[in-house]
Amino acid sequence: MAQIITKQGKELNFDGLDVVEFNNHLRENELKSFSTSYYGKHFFVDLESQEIYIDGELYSKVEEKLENVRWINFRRVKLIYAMSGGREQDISYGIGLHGISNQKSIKCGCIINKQGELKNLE
Amino acid sequence: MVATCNLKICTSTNAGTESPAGDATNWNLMATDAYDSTGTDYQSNPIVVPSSGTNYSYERWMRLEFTGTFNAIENVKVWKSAGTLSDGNLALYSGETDTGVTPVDTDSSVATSAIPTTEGGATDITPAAGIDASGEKTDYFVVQLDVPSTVTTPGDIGSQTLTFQYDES
Repeated sequence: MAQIITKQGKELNFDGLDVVEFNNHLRENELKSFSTSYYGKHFFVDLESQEIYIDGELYSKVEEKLENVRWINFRRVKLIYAMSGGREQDISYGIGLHGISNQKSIKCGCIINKQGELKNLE
Repeated sequence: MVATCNLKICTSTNAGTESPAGDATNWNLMATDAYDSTGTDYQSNPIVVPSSGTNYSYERWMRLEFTGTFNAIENVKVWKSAGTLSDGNLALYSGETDTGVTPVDTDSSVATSAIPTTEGGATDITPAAGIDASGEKTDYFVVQLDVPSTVTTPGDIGSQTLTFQYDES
């Protein structure tokens, strides 16, 4: 499931899209919020309240409202090369928002790995 | 839409020869400035334990190339994620640069730090100009093996593993 709600209140659904393709739609719209799913968990990022929900529960919110808020949605790829041969790949996903507070860039959100484990964005 | 990422081994003048055509299958360290295209060339190009002082492998220059359709590749990092050297006196050094220089088998002026072994200490090889188009590449990651005369365990140095990590959006 992947959905955008625009600032004009319009719901746009983009189920089945790859993260890069979904990002293209995120760029094309003025966002109020967006939601997507990775590794069995549902993420909802509200850019107005600056809150992030996972499976319907509040995961994180900013302490102070950020300025110039933008969404975060990326695929993190690990390529593991053995010296004498062999390559393995591991993919996780990052979801959240970032903005400016007290002239510092602040990120809020998480990274989910294929085991469904979460860690905060740095 | 998924970017294709290939590891390139960079050799010869100004590290300007990039091999292979696709993805490198190894990053073996050798006593010659070449990509180990067979995966076994390292056996005939060993770094010999000297009677005194230190011998050095040729610097192994490498970088990632991204092709295909994507918007941006960011936060490209690399670290040694696994592997123990077979002798405690062996040492792997590494460094990063955006400028290709001909690899040497003397003490490297680029690979001057102990190779990072944690994600937190990883080397950032994201180019200053960013990566947002097919065919663009990271900065160089340079590795060199130091073999001092105190090494008492000749033979293969043991399997070493590099992890490259990037964010694709």
